[in-house]
Amino acid sequence: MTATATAGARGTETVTRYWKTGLIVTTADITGITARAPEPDPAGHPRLILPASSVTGMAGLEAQFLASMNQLAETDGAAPVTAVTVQAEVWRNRYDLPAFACQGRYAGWTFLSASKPGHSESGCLNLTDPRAGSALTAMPGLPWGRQFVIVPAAGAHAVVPGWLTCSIVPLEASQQITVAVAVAS
Amino acid sequence: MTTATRPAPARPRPLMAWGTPIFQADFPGAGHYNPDLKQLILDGEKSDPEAALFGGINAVKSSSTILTWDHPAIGWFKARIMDAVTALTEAELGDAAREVTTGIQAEAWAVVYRNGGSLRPHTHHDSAWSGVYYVEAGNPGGEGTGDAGYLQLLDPRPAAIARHTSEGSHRIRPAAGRMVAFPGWLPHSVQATAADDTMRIAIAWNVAYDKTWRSVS
Repeated sequence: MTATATAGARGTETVTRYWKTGLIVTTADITGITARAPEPDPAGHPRLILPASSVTGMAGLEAQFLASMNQLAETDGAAPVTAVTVQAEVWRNRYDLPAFACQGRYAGWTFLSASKPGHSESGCLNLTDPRAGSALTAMPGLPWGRQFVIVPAAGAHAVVPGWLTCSIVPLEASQQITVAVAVAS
Repeated sequence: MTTATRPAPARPRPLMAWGTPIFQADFPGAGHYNPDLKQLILDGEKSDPEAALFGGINAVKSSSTILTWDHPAIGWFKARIMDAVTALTEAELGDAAREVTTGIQAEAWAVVYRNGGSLRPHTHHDSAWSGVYYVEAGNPGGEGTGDAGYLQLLDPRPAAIARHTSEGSHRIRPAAGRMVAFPGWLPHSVQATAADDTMRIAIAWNVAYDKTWRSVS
């Protein structure tokens, strides 16, 4: 928590922020980390899980995710994360997830490649304000209920608590994203 | 696990997002005005047709007209509400808070707790900011009573609570002259006072905006 305090004629007053949610949103170095393009899929499945053998640099990905998850664990005062499960996925053909969370303590994504969509938000990963009811309250500036929007550019990296509700904005029909998805195990 | 050819990645700096602002102050002028506020509230309780038990046990809520009462102590109290609203708005909006100085609507009501009085968890979902001011604190947390009578502010992230990553609440000890304020959507409750506690008097309030405000981005 953080507090700001002022003292004056009104006495000492503080505004303290409680129950912050730790997030990692940054750009990772993905030099040398690649995923081989999937075989053609006539069925057009919107989500493919790539075999581990098709990813070069998996150890580096795991190390990045562990570093980010342990930063959050330290911030949370929680035990270190000792293992992470990472899989590479291809999202395409209007893939979307309206709302989801993960069973693991932390979840993460590193985008490895992405085609340019027609609309800037197509395929974005959204992190949702977890404060129940906050978005329903009218307030100038609309400070409540704001989302973090992760644009799926190569190298974009995010790690969040597993309980946080996230969503994936529907991809466009011609859009394709390759992303490493991690869950603390 | 790292590879021999790749240096261990640095730990990125975390963003600490979506914190819930809570205002707390102990006003130096309170000792002067609290006796008058107490008398006004207890006198009003005798004749208030809308006074009622609500949402709790041994807690009587007055009608929401307190801010219309013509008394210097009420004028002082209105100014303290604005202190809290100003501090919270500045904390949330930064410099843009200076654009939010009109269209503010406030209401307040007294709550008188007697032996064992408590209030179950609730929100003030129609207000931007809500708060409570203690005119008289009784004997909160007296010997052997733990946190009896404390205000409990509840973590608004049910998913975090479900995963046991949050203690779930922040408790504040009532004290005469103390104001606590928070977003209206924040769940809160009042721990039962001790069975042999003395009377505790609080004034709760809501502040909303009349929606004539311009968009502040």
